[in-house]
Amino acid sequence: MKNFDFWIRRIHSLSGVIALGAFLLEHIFTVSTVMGGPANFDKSVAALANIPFLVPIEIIAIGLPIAFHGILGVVYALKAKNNPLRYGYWNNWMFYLQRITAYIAFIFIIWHVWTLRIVGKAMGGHLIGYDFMHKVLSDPLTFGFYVIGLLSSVFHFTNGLFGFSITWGIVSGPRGQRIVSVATLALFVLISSVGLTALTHFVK
Amino acid sequence: MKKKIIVVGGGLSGLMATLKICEAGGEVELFSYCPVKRSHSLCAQGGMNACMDTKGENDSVHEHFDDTVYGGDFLADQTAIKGMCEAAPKLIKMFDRMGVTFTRTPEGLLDLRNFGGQKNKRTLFSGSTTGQQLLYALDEQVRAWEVKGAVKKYEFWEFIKIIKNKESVCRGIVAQDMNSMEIKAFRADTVILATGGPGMVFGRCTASTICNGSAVSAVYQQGALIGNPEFIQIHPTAIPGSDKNRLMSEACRGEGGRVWVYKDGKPWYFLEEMYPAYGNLVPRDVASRAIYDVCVNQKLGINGENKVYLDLSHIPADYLERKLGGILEIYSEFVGDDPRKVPMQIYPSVHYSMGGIWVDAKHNTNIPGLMASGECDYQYHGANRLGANSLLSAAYSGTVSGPEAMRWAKEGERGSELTDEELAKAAKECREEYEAILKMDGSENAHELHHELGEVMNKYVTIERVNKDLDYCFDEVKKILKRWDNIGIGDKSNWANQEGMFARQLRNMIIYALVVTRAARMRDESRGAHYKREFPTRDDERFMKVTVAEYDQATEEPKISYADFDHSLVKPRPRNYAVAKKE
Amino acid sequence: MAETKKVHFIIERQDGPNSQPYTEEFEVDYRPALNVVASLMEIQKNPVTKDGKKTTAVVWECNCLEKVCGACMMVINGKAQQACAALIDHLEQPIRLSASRTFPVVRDLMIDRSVMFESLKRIHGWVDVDGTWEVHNDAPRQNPKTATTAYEISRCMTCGCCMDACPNVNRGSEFIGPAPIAQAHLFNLHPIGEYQKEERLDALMEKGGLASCGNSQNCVQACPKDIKLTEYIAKLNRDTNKQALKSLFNK
Repeated sequence: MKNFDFWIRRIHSLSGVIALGAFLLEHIFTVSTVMGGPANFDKSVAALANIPFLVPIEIIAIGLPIAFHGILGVVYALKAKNNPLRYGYWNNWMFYLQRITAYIAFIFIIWHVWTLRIVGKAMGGHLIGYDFMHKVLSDPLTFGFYVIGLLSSVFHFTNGLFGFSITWGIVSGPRGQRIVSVATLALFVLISSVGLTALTHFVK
Repeated sequence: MKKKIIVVGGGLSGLMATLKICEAGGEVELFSYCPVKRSHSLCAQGGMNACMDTKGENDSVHEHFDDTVYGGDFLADQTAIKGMCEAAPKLIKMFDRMGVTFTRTPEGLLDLRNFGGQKNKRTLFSGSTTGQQLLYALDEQVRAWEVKGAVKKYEFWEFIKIIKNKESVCRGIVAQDMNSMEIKAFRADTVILATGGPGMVFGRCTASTICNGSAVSAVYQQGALIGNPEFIQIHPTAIPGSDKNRLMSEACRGEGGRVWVYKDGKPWYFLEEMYPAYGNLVPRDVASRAIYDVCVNQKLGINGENKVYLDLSHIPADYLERKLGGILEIYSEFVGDDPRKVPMQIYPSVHYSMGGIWVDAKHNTNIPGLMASGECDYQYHGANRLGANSLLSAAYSGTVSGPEAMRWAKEGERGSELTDEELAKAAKECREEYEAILKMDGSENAHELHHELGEVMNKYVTIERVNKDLDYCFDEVKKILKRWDNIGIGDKSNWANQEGMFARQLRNMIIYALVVTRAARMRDESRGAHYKREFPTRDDERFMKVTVAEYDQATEEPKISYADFDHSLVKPRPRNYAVAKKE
Repeated sequence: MAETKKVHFIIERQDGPNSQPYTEEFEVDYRPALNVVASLMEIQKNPVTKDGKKTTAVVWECNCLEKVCGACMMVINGKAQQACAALIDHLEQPIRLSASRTFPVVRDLMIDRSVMFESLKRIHGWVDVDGTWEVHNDAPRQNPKTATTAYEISRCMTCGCCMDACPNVNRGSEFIGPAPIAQAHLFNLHPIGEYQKEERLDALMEKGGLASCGNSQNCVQACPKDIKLTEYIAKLNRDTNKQALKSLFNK
């Protein structure tokens, strides 16, 4: 196919924002309902569980894009020679962090899905709900990993938006880039504080 | 079979010739000891002259022609200059089509500016890096031909010498790969040298480190004649530096820059006072002599040093940015002061060689099959080159030498092609010569010796020349030549050995220094860039002649003679920039 | 007499493309406005290390010494830059010099940047003129503002600083790098060059093209000519996206 490599890269970018980004926002929103109390959280989890064709949707709309974005992303990231110590510019650190957080998020997501969705629910038959999550997150090590995983995923997403805006030619000039850069940073602070607050509600 | 032309040198002239040859169906092997995109043409800053007459000044090609002849103090071939000036506007249009980013007027046309020695705005420019833009345009076009297979580049190959067949026609060259050090002989139907100027003979100058004139000297030692070698342009405004003098374009003065020093506590705009008609825009030789006089004879240089002010600080900063941006950066970067705010401190420096390989109107040298074009030839500038005429002569000469090389390849009496044995023999000679250099174990360091050569040449063969000093200088250079035999080469390796190659270049530079010095000694008059206090006026009767230097194998010295040239179009008249030029 | 101030260099040397690198230290007399090239020239005149050991002169590439030819790019204290414009006064000592290892090393500080010139072929880096002859027609007028942008890009001297700084340009990656990408934009801006815009964008959509940019934005910081590389990359992103969609649906 003409422009194959180009399209793969572009779909990689799209999958990051549209599939993963949207799901991340939805996921954090669902989880943050815990701030309204355990019952509230259980209600929204149940609502999600009632979506028809849930498993195919999970696999096609979430699982595959994650696998695609993640695996390809690792291949791409491994080709870079990171050099923030030589070229210590802000954007270069962001570039480096984008890749570090990618690795962390990649491992975190696999572990997260494996322990909860596959081993926990599908194989163990646990009902995912407040009680179960409370038990899981009460282990300080697990909680710590969740904090790191959450921050990495959110950073990777919001900083990814900055790259996305350039990849898609939405902004070009230096001022436009600065505006987007600040906006995505603000978004990072906002989303991650929501997520972190929600996390703390599970161990109250 | 396709005709094969070897072009040595990938600056503006070499690339222009290459394009013309490709268009005529020939094949080019292009030799350069740097990637052609890094050739010295890119150092030209101010612009390129062409009569476009878009500023309501009734400029004419004839006026451009006459300014060039007058500026060159009537020592250049007038028919050749006429051809060049006529072609100039066409060349500009060609460059424009190729994508040169000329600076434009608000209505999107090509802008023009003033330059020295001309009353009309005639200089097209691309910010203050015009040479870079012109060179890149040709580099790009040549790359397109390279993709089509008509050009084969030999970058990082150094030209060593030409090879003549048994009929004494040039039919090939020997060159050396600067990485593998392999020395190889190549066949050609015609060879064009476009190897630029010999600035490095003077050590510190405005030229690139690659402008050593080594190739010119090499063919001179093989019998090519040199024309007008004593005419070395001293650019009035350069930033003196310990590694090189960095050019500060004449465009500074073209855009309104003023030259001054303090005299009796007040700024003295001496060029404006001495030359009311042209003011700061007098030609380079005139400006350089005035600055020299003010600093050396009147001792009025800044803080007693040999420096004067070049002042742009009265011009609005945004205007300067648009017209001169690139070079102001150079000054800020290398000196540390902002020329938009404080006057620059400058002094004259060796800049360009009007002289070079003697060629006929079609750029053929006296050796059949060997041509020369660009700064390495002597054709277009006489005793002094006008600013912004060098990009023109470089590009134009390529449009002449390229087609002529093809004509020669088809119709010339080229004699027999070089046999494999002849090629092998030529390569072997150069290899033995090079190996002998590598074995040298004396006490002299080639770079140190080069430094000494530059010092003595700069001191005695630049702005003011005195016969007694020139005699002394000649002896000194001969001593340096003798000392060359006692060079030690520390680097014996056979990979990217710059020291070995430099030693070979240095010998050629020394030989060429002798040519410049001897020719300067012999010309007892003052004309253009050549000035002798002992002979302060132009002597048309004796010296309205081209200096021709021929190598004498036995003494390694030049034999000087004088030849007539074509000055049939305008009669010589006194050159005086204090008053408006009259015809 | 007061002792002259010395400038201390640690230079990474390498005898050939396949040799092991090693370092040598040198001392050069300080003088005002001294730069790295001038220091290397001093070493040439007297190739003796700091410890008094005789050695060979350091091999490097330089031409113009005015920051316009692009030849003398090397890594100075960790950053790729033009050695001629690297003033000693602005550098922390000891000054560490090494070749830009993004490119194959020829010898010492000299590198092989032919890949950059090859890339200019890939992106169709020229305007397709019919010939150098007269066409009895003026070239089209240009908006002076567009011409100013073009001038900015046309000052690119193929030095390779942006290539060294870019994390995605390295010998394990096929990324073409910032410099040739910006050149494609330059020719697209020209009223005649624009006729080949499609070919250039197609070239940029090939493997290792524009899409391999990782947006580290080091290029724009490293560029010694202050070319707004990231801006042109973003503009070309827009152009290539458009063209990719067009060729997907319109053909």
